[in-house]
Amino acid sequence: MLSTLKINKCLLKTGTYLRNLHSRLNDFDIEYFCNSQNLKEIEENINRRKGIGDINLVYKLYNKYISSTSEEIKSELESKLISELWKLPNRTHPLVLERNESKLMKYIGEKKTFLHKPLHCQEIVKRLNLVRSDQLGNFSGSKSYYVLGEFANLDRALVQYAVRGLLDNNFDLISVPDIIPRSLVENCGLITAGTRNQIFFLNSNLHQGDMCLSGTAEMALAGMYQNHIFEKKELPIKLAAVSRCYRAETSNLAEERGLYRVHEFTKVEMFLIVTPEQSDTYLEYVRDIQEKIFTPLDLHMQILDMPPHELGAPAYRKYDIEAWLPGRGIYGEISSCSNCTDYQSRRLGIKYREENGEVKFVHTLNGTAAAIPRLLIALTETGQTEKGVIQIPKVLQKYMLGQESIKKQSRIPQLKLMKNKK
Amino acid sequence: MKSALYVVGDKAQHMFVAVQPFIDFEKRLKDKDELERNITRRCTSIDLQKIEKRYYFYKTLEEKKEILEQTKYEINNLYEMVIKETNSDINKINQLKLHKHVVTEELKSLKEYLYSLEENVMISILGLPNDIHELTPEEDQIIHEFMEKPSHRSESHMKIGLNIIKLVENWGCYLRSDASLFELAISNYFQRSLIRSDFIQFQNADFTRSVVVEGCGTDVVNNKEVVTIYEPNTKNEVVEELSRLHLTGSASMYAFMAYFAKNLVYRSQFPLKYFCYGRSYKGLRSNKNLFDLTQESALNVFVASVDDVWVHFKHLTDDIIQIYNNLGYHYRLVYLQPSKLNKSESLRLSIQMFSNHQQEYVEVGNLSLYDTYISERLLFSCLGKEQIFPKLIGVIS
Repeated sequence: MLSTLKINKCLLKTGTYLRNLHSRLNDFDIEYFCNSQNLKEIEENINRRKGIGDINLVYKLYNKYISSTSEEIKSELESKLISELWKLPNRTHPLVLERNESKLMKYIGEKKTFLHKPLHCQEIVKRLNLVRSDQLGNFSGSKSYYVLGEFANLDRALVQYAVRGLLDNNFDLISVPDIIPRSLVENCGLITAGTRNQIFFLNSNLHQGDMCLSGTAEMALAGMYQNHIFEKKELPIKLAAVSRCYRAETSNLAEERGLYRVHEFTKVEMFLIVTPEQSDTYLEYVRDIQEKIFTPLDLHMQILDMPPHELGAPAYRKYDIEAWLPGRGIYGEISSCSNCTDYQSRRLGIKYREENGEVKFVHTLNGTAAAIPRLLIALTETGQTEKGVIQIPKVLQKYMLGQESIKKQSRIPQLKLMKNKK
Repeated sequence: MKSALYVVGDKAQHMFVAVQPFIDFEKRLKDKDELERNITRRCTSIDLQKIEKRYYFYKTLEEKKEILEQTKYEINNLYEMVIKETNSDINKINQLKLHKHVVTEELKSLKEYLYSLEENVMISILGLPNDIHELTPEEDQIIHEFMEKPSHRSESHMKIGLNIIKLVENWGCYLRSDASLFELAISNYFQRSLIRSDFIQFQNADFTRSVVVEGCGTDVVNNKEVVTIYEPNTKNEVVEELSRLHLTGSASMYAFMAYFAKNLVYRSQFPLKYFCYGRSYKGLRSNKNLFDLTQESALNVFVASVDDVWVHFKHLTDDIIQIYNNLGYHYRLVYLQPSKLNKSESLRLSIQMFSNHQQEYVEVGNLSLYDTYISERLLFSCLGKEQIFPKLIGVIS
């Protein structure tokens, strides 16, 4: 017969075993992050990325955790440790780590020359009655906007064109939810605490479930496969989605006025799930697809390899594509693609099984195939003519019943705001 | 009784009142019997007698207020005159002062009472439903059918679509491969058909403020059926409750009315024939099948006319028949009975397809006649000498 002491020891061991088996701690790369030899490297990475997180605290908590014998204290330490590990940013690609600024990879297309002084998109859309954004705050919220007539047709044409491009490259189109749990947003690497963040939350007095609005389809796509184990032969998974993206951020910068930074917009997004060996190659693949989609739009663009402090928390490496905006005389970001390695998959539990049965975390990548308002700006400022119309790139014309240019939308009335009665 | 559409008194001190709806209750009372029948046919429990009684009481007090204001004005004038006289009678001055004080106090307490009475009466009036169109039948009436109703019973769409519809917990419904391609293709088809029928495309905002939602006839204050956004920096409790931000979706009547609310349009510009393809959001739903989703991709048509709106309703019905016939599936068009109409609808043409699994018809779209009900509430009017409110039609598909 077993003594009580032995039974207790046995239960303790079983409890520890079960906790280790199911602990979310195992989802983090403990071997790397809690190894004293890596502390300097990790600290430097955090500093270079201007990220948050305290690796020394992580290490301290980890040591306390492993030396603790009390189940209760261990459990408390574990929660704290997970919370601190969660804050740490991803590692950084070695080619990028030392850089303080972005590196120009290449130019695409030529800067268009104009016989007239090119106008800012805001001025063009106002003259041609293509967008309304004034006097809407009391009815559809601040910074809202309506895209009108042929400009809305161009908006839809861009979506169809980008989706066609992705379907031709064997992406699987997914229709995604826009209202998602806060935990999913956090697990994708966005901080939701504090008032100055990018997320719209649902009113928790009226709606249960701690839900928020998705800022990008990448979150919902990642959420579709949380706690999923793929077989290696299933990878890579290439997903595409058209979604409405909601961002609470605002900007008062003059160059970001109008459609440049808005609370809601349509975006065609790519999301890839690959093995760790494939992710570097697939980042180039995503970038290549973006080039193939954007080049026929007759824009002048530059591709940048982004420095550590521009990567955010999840990306290991990130390319930005910026289009030349002649009206503003600056390059403006129209797209980006990131390799998030195992940052998101560890937080979401997305894994794959090797041929030998070993289960590992997948790598995830994302890229924008079309962020509609930014593309509308670039196409408007680049396609403007001296006659005051906007030329539509040839590749988009077939999605607009053959239309070649956009003129003033005179069938859409100019509105006159009613005065308040006293 | 709280309203985001009719805000007066102390509440109006705390928030910007975007719209003061146009209300002509006496016009509606001209055919009181019809309004009573309307309420009965819609199976709503509105006590019209009570509203009428309160309304006339309010009118009486309003008149009293005007008399007091006039009296106050005249006493003031008299007082000013008397004190300017060189040999003014001190007794007379004191008497006038006292009189002035009494009238001011009475006016003050009357105004305070009137605010709450006005709020109560006007919100009750705004709660009245739209007039019922003469074509709205006593019971659902099929006006068009295409092909035969399928006779076989099938599995549910969730079982058939096991590989193309993915549910995640109770929040996520994903359409995959052929299902998402279908969504894309059908939206492109509807969009092309409408552009060819001379409709103009809009890409609307997805957010609306409470005033617009209630203006369109949906009760909004603390209504869980409308997705409400948390706003961290609201000015005060009144704003927090009555001027919220909602996610209603771009493909909705709400979005079009947010565009036109409190705006005037030249008569020559009518009719307006617009559409938007985008999202439509309802309150948080079960998301267990495609009939009960929080979010849907939808196409919303908006028509505004100052002339014969019925012509447009008929044209739209023909357009719907043309568009749906081409799909090659059985469907029917049904005028719904009054009890199935929303408060703002005068007539609803329901587009219904047959669920082989549930063995019943399911509404997949509708064509709603609002007449001037919504435009009056949100002050969308025609620019001219007279105040003319456009008649509105909305289609969801």
